[in-house]
Amino acid sequence: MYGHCLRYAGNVEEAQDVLQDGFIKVFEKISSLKDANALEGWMSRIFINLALSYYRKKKSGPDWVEMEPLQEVLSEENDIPNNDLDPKLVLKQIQSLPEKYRLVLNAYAIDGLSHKEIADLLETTESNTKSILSRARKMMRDWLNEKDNKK
Amino acid sequence: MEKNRPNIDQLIQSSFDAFEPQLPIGIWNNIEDKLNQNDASKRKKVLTWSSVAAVVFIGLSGMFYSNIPDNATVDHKTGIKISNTELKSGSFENKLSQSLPIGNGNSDLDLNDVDLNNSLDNKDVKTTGKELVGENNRNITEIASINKNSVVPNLFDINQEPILTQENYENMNEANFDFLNSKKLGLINTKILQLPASSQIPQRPTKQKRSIWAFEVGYDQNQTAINYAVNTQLSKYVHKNFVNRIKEGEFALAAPQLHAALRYQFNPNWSVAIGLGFSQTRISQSFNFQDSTPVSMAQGNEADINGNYPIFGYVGLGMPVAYNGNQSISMVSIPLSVGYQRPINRSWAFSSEISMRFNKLLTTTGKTLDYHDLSLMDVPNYRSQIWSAKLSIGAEKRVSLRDIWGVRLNTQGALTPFNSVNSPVSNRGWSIGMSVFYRYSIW
Repeated sequence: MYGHCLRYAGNVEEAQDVLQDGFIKVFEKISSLKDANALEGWMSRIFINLALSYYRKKKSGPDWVEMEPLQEVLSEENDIPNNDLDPKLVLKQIQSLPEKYRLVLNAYAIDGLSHKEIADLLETTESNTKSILSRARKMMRDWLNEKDNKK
Repeated sequence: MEKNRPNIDQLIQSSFDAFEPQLPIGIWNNIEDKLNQNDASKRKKVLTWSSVAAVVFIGLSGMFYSNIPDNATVDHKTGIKISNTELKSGSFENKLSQSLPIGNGNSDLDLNDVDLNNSLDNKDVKTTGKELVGENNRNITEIASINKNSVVPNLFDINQEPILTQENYENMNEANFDFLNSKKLGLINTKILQLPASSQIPQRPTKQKRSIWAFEVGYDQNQTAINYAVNTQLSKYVHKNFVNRIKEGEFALAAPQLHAALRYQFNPNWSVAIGLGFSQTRISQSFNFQDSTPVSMAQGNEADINGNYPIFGYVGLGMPVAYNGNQSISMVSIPLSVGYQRPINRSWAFSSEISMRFNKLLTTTGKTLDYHDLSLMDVPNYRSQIWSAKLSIGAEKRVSLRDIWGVRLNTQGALTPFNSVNSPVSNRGWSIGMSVFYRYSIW
């Protein structure tokens, strides 16, 4: 769960805040969990929802101005270096993304939420999350290419 | 979840598959503390709302109780109206026999003369002509019954002392009284009574208004014993012998409280009061011991509110502690009270009260033991403002129309902890004591 928090937060301190609040929520709501086998997924969802709402409520949070759609170039195998990535480096790169890019990329690309779910949680539109995701992907792709070229 | 995600997503996702970051040190302690805080906050909310609900409930009950109509019932044979209260208590005829002069009555009242403040019509006055016989052959004749809402009952005994409760005088219409007097009529509850010609006409009482404002002074004496309790969740910060040493060394001499209040009487049963009080808890102390020195560990642990770390064990003998002295805690308070009185007889009444008090601590002096290492320390800085509550029940005696004395048993306790939040020790719970008070009706 701490990994979730680190990915969504901009720094370690914020991640710890989210982790702390998340566990408190888990302990408070544990009685509502029907199936013990679903604990991990249930907890993940609590932390993801909390992380997204945490940043939505922040005064200095994302400015959900509608963005122009980016012509997404769907990735091709040869566009992306196919090597093992150091999770710490990926984490660092994700944390360096602008906040709204980071949130949407995490929620969609890693945690598998739909655009509708993300748009609802962040109180914006699906088209906007799609547009943000395209830009976030492009940034990650550029970073991977640059990293590969250096090698 | 949406399907067919681009490979960049899978690549990023897979990079975190085996990623398990190390948890920050102390995070579990933080979470535990926060959960404890949440629990304490919930308990505090429950307590606060329970107190508010209790006060509101008592207030509403009083209003409801005092507004229950005392419906009169009609005896179909005689047409006499008798209130439910009188029917239940059977007091009606006793009152007659004890209060009215001996002799046979004459029903010579012309009802056309009846003009009770223009408030009575045929509905209000009903001729009955029933002769009522009370104990000791004291006979009088009831000549009419009156709508209870038109004339409020009044009754005097043969010494012309009022024997009904004060509210009767408050609402006695002056014109009615004079009229009845001039006709040598008595009035009891819903009945106009023709008194014998030889009877003594009751005189108008000098005191006609029931006092609704009263000044009150009181004194509470509660036994507080020791002032401390250990928070079990934080007991690891407290020396194992702390409570025993405190018990051995401290004894509360007294926790007296004086208060003065202004009381407003809604009706004979319910009243509210606001006042000002002063109390001082004095504790005698005598410590003389030598105890083990605690071993605590800072690394990986959270300090408590006073910077102490959890105790993991004890080593050898520590410094000796010897002290004789007194500790005192003074405070002023503003009590807000709801009182309920229920008459038992003409003099005595059941008396109860619930109070919420806002207290401001003025001084705390003396020594006590540090809960962590049992060293001698100054009395800790308690919170400067706390809320407390008091419940009391007892009896009060009316010695005259203006003066009432009372005595009650009480229990009182602080709703706000004396010590700071999360302190491993806190003030003790509720205490039991005795209260006396004197009330003087002002107007």
